[in-house]
Amino acid sequence: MGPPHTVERIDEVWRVVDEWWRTKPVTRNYYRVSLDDGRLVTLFHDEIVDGWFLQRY
Amino acid sequence: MVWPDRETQLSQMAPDTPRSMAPRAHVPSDLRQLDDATPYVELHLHSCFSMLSGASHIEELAETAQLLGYHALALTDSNGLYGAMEFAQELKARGIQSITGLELSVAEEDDPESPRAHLTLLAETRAGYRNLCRMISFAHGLLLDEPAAKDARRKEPWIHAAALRDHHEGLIVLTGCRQGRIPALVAEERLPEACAALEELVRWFGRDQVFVELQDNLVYGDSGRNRALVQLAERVGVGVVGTGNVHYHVRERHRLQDVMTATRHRKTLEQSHRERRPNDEFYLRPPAEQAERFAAYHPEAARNSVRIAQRCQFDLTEDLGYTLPSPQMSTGQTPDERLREVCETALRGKYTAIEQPRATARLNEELRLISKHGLSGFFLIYQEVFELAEEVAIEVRGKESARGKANLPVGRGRGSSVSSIACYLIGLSHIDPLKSNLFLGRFLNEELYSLPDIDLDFPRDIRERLIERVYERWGKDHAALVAAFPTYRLRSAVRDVGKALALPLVELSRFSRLATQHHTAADMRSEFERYPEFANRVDAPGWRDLVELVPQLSRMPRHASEHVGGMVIASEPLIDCVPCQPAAWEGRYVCQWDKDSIDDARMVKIDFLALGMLSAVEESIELIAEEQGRTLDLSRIDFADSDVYDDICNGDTVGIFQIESRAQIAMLPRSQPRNIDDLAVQVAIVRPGPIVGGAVNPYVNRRVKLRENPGYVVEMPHPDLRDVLGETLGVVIFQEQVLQVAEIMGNFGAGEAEAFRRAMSRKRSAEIMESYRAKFLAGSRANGVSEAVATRVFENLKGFAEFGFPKSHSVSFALLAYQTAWMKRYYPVEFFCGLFNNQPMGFYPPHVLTNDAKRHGISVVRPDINISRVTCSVEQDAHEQLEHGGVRVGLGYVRQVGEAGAAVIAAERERGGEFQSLFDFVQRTGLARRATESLIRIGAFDTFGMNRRELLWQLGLFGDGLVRSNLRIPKQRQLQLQLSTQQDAVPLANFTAYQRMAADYELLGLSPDSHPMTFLRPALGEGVQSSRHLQSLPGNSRVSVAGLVVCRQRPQTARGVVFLLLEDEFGMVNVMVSKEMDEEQAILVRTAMFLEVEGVAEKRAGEQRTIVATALREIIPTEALLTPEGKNWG
Repeated sequence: MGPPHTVERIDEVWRVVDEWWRTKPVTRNYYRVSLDDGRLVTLFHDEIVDGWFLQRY
Repeated sequence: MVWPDRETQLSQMAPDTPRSMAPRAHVPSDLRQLDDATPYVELHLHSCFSMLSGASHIEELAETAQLLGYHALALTDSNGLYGAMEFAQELKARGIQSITGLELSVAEEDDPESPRAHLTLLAETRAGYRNLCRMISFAHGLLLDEPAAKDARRKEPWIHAAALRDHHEGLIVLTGCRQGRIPALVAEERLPEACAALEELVRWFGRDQVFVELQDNLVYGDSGRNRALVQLAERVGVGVVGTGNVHYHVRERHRLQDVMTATRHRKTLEQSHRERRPNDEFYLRPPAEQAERFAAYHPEAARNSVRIAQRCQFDLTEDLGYTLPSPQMSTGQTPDERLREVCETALRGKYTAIEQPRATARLNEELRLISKHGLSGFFLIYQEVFELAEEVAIEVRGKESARGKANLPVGRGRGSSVSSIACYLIGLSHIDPLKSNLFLGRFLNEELYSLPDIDLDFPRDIRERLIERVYERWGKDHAALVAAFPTYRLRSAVRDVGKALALPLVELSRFSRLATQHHTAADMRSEFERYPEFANRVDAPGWRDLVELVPQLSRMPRHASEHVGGMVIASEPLIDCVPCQPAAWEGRYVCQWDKDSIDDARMVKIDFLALGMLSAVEESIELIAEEQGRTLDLSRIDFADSDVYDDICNGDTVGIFQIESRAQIAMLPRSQPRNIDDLAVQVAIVRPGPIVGGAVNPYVNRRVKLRENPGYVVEMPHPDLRDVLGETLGVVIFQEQVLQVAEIMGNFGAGEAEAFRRAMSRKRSAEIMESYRAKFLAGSRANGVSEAVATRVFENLKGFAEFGFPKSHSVSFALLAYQTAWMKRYYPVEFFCGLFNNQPMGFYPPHVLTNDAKRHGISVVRPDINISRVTCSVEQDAHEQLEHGGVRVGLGYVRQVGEAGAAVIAAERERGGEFQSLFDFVQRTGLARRATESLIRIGAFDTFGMNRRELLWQLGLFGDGLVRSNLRIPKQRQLQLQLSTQQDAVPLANFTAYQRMAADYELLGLSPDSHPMTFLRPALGEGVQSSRHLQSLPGNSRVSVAGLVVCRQRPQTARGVVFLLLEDEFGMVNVMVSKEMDEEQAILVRTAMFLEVEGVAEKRAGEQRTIVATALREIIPTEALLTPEGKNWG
């Protein structure tokens, strides 16, 4: 985990709800954001565990 | 929108518009107004009529829209208007403007391989609606002739893009969802092509008619695509509009939508990742939220949805444009004059001079009502249909056949139309309404809230040809069958949801078998908890979802099908009013509305129903002529034959039309019908309406009292009702009586009484029913009827919220019931043969009919390869020791052979003579090995002198040359078989009698020789009685009986009680299982093949015995036996 950054802009928001029939369903809100250092990253909020994560492709 | 009042609308209608076409009276005064304050209108919405795509009922969508404050809403189901009328009616009742539209699949090229894209179309005007209907009809292949091409379109409709150009008028077009051509091109950044496609739409539809559709369901790529679409719209110079692409009314329903998608693609949820939607955002969101969402893309995107809604003034409930059919009048007469002339001419032929004044008075009254409602043309059209039916009957029956000479009616009237003298005179009914004292008001009355239906029953072969001839006469764009939508019930829902969840099929199948068809899918949780093996899974992964989703799937349509007989004929092209499409049955066409939507559209429909019993009767008449040289005229038999009534009163009615059920057989000995009028009551009484209304026991008890004391005077609820209720001994049994009692006792007007009946039959709200109740009680009070009596009578009437028969219908059916009872008594062999050849029909499966036939001295003889025909046939000398001869079972009855295989055998026998051996048979017919095995196992080769095991062995020696995949062999070619050699043949013991019986049940569905209980009885205790001993036991005896379960019945009117019908080798036994016992021993009650029942033999005077079960035990045969599953009747 590196130093904290500020989100400059949200470019895209999308939501994924899937695998609800499994023991570990997926309910996530994704955010494609631009950070203050110019990087574009994808974050998601997992509603099941109520936590924020960085999407690594 | 300002709604004109009803009178203004009427005055503005063209003078020749029949009054019955007038708009409905209940135009809401509080229609929500679209104005500048309206934030958003949803213009892209799918209901469950986007088959297996939309996951909400129309009612759920409408209710949610109302709660969210929508002022207008469009329905845009995929390639269909199946739900459009229901949607329009539902929204109107809630004060919401409905917009009629659809999502159409469009192909760029006129080529089945061309990729297809979605386009959203909305009807702005009546012309636009007409174009929608036409394009949908074409998309479904209405114009195609080639069966394979039609079939492909039926499964996957699409239309060539060029058709849009020719049908653009009155339509507003939106560019569609993500699967739309333009959004897809934009998403792929093929902007020049997207621009060209949009400009093409503008050329075809006009700039003001085209809108670029923006959708934001939080799907990856939505934002970028929407921004690009806005730029595209600005470049081409058209508006943008936001839509929700709604597929369910609330977020939680997304799971069901996922399951539906998986089911539609025949995949599991795991396998359908690509096909399923990525999230749960396709629900109906609040208008303000949508407006805010789309404001991020374009300031006018939401506002344009409101502007479009304001422009779409076409209202399906008012502007359909359907006119009642009317024939071409070449004589200068008006339809009224022509109908009068036809009826008066017929009247003079059908009534004597003495009868004519009364008949004329009745006719004048009817013609006045018919003219008032503008229905003369409608009657004349159906006279044309009847004339067509006469031609068809001659063609199908053949002029020289026994059927042709038997003076049989072409079709038999049923339903309320039988009460009409006009129908009687023009041939649409065969019952004289004057002689049968039939009340007209259910069919025609002053206020006529609904157009009358005319129903006709035909033998199956005549009906099939008649439908074809109707298309030939009026054209497939002017005539169509009414649609029906088979819906999910518990079993089907468990199967499809379970498959999607990848649950074990064996267990799903077991649960489905336990959860009988008595239950709706809504009962899922209680059904699950009922069985120990499933109860602990209610909250297990997968199973938990099954329990949650199955009730949601309940009542959803699975696909579009045909109504059993309803047909609509229009003078103007029908496809301008409702889309029509080819049916699965080649040569038939079906419109996209079911009978309720047709009724709401105030379209007239005629029901051509196939009645298996009519086919059986006509076949029996042919057989009687063949075997005995007699041509029967069933209209001239003795309708007062006491021997026939004795059979009926003894409950000896298995196979008899309408009075053969378990409940009927139990009741007949008490009710003792002795004439056609009594039979009409009998036909009507075992129906939910009279049962729920509490009419059954009073009627039967009064029949008993009248027999015991002919001077007994039946007390009427009110003296004025004696004329109306006299024939039913003071209770309401017929639908017409509901109207008459409401009028006489409750002071209802004629139309009001019919509206009350219809309100009940459509399960209108409790408030509406309460208002009718209050009115009825007030009217009764004014007529001097006590509150208690009025309340009791109203409860009797209210029972008709459930299904009930009109008297007109019952009289028609009673006549056929008597005729079949007469045939069973005097021509039983031919009668049973006719029944066997027209299965499935009636209450009992063939094996029960077989045993009943045998009890009547009729032999049922197994198929023989050198004697049997394709279908069953009569053999007078089948068993000389038997009184009546026998029925030879047809080869088509044999499983794995079927009618196609039987036809091959019969044709070869005709060509080459009798088969000399198994080898000869196999070589000449080339029948598949399994079919030949079946024939051996049921004894069709017994005639060759070898036993069945030896024959099977021999068949095995013929080698692989025998194994064929189909039944057809080229002409003049015989199979090359290895010759068996003598040394390969071995002596083998035959199958045991039990094994032969088991094979009969498995492969024939009946046993010509023996009943399974013959083999099982020795293992039962000595105290187990047979059915033949029951009648001689004193009342309330404790008994133990055993038998094959042939029928399970849990009537909704019986409060959880289950009735079982057991059959042993001597007859049948009625068993009553309490609700508590059913719950405790559900598996046994619902699945056991054989049962031993301990209980008390109840017996009321003269009634068939019913055993009230106190204990149940399953009898499990020691050797394998597969009998047909007992029929489950709701």
